[in-house]
Amino acid sequence: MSDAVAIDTQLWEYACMIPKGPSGAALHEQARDFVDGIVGDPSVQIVCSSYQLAEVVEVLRKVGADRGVRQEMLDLLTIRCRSISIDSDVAVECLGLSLDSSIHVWDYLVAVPLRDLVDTIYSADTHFQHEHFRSIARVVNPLDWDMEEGQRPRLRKG
Amino acid sequence: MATQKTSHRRRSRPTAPDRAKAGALVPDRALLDGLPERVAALEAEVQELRSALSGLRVAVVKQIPRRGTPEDLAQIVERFRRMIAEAPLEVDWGTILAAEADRV
Repeated sequence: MSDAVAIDTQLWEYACMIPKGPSGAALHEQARDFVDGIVGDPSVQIVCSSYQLAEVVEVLRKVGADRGVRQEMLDLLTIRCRSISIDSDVAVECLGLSLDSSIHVWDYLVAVPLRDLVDTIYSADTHFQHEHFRSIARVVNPLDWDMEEGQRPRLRKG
Repeated sequence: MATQKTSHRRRSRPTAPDRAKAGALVPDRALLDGLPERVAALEAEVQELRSALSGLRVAVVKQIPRRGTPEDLAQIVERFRRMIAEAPLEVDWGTILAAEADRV
């Protein structure tokens, strides 16, 4: 494979942690195997926005990851991935799209800066199925679960 | 009687020449010849262009600097892979959902 891809925050997050309770281990294993496969393939260029760097490390802090884990993640994101700075034009565009769709601006700050740079955005977030995101790149959910903010992931039928 | 005949004609299905006269689209059989093959050829061309575009994107992305040396890269990738394989955090759902909802 030789591609430029983005990996949404929840995939990084679930690769690093096991949710306690039913299907938590299965979800973690699938996210871990997916992320491991991409990170370990040097032909794949992983791209992230500067906002997403902060988001991934911060969400790990909020779920209780210690400093060592957060430092490992920060090292990985800055050394393995290419990060794209966000300027005010991009921020304004993200806010405009968010006003239009009512999807919160954070998802736009992950995806919009990567327009024309990535072939595929990997995300389990149902927001990313909106045309705004699908017009940026192909959106692929590599998991058997769909995710919506504030709700436990839902196993897809079939 | 004459009125009934007219009414009957109006209800009958129009022929292809009638539809053409009325401005309707009439399939041109010649255009349909070899259509699946032409679609397949176009799909192959699209695939080729996508692949070329992907190559261009990768080339552009590679110009974006990243931190660390190649040795750093190999080490951090190895450490990260070991971390997620051997020592994932165990977290309850309440904490996870609250963390995701409250991003900043």
